[in-house]
Amino acid sequence: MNNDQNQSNMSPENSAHLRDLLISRVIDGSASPEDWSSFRILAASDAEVWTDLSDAQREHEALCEVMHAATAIADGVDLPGGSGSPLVFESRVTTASRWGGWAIAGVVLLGWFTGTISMNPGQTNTGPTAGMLPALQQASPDEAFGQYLNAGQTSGQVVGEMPNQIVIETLPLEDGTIEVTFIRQVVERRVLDKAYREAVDEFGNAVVIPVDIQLLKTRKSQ
Amino acid sequence: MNERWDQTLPIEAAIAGHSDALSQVWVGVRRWVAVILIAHKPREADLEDLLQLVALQVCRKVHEVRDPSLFKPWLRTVTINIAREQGRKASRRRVGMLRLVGRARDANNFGGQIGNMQLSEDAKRVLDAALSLPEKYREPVLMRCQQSMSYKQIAEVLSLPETTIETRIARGRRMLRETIELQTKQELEAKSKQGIRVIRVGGA
Repeated sequence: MNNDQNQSNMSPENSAHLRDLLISRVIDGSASPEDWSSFRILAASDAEVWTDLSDAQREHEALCEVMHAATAIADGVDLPGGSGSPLVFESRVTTASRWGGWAIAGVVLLGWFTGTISMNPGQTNTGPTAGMLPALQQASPDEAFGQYLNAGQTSGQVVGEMPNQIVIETLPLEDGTIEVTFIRQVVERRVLDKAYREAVDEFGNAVVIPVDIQLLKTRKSQ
Repeated sequence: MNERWDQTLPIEAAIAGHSDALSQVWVGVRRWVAVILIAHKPREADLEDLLQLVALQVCRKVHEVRDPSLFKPWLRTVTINIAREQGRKASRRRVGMLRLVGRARDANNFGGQIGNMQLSEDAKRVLDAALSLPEKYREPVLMRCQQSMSYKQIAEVLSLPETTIETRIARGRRMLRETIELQTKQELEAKSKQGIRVIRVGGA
């Protein structure tokens, strides 16, 4: 039985399957002389197969191009680097990149304004805002933030600023600079005479419930 | 070397704890790992972050692989788990934080990029269609785009017969074609409807 007869005897499912396979093999450059022969026979009765082949070829090439560019980012991701020690690598990962983008996190930390208050209570602000303070309206955001931290620490409201900033997003800009969106975390302390906690009622609605301060005291002392 | 996935990689030595061998193996597989991540991660999750997590996990756990022939399926499983779990967590956190700082539009706008790579409309269309394929077709179709990976190598990684891989790639490509055709048709119809509306408004 020749190829022509074989194909005409096929069920529609098998015929569709063969069509897919032949197109795919041609795209991959792995079609054998027999495959080409079958393809020509198929095309003689169904000219659309040429259009499908051309579309499939174009889509495959476009996809390969996208994937090649997308996966190129992997070339910049190494294992432990020069250190050769997985432990060093791990420690770097867990500290700097917990929130992603550790390279950028490093850049942010290095370029950070040096006059912020640390969590160490003995350390005070020695940055450019110490001494002569500009009026708040004329202060730059960093100066104003420094003033807030100083004033807060003096009054006891601010405990300190967390040393690590949380990087949310990094975007390279067209002019070659990088936009970094990040969170600065300040630890504050308040003294309250009432407190509430969030809870959910039996219908699933969010509710606030007063906290029994006496009970809290008892638990704390136990 | 970066794109090669071949038998010469010193997998056995890497499992035995030789850091140079492990680095060599990683260089040989990292693009392939990136393809698996793209196939399984949420769109908004950052590819580079996830690659770093896979690298970390490889360092931590590679010694647990008992047989070098199981390394590839093991690495694929590790990669998929990270893509799904960490990707979900990272994207939730990132979206939440961007909303918090009033950047909700950015949080929902990841369609046009992979990582920081801006894509053309055509590239975006093909990629979107490929990512919408059912999982069992998506992964081999994308892997085949890594030119170094033959059907045999893909079959080895996915622990499936080579004929199954060939069938899935062939069907996946047909589905990709049909998806793009359908999208193009719908876009043309939408444009045509808009055109009719404009003429009616103008004529009123």
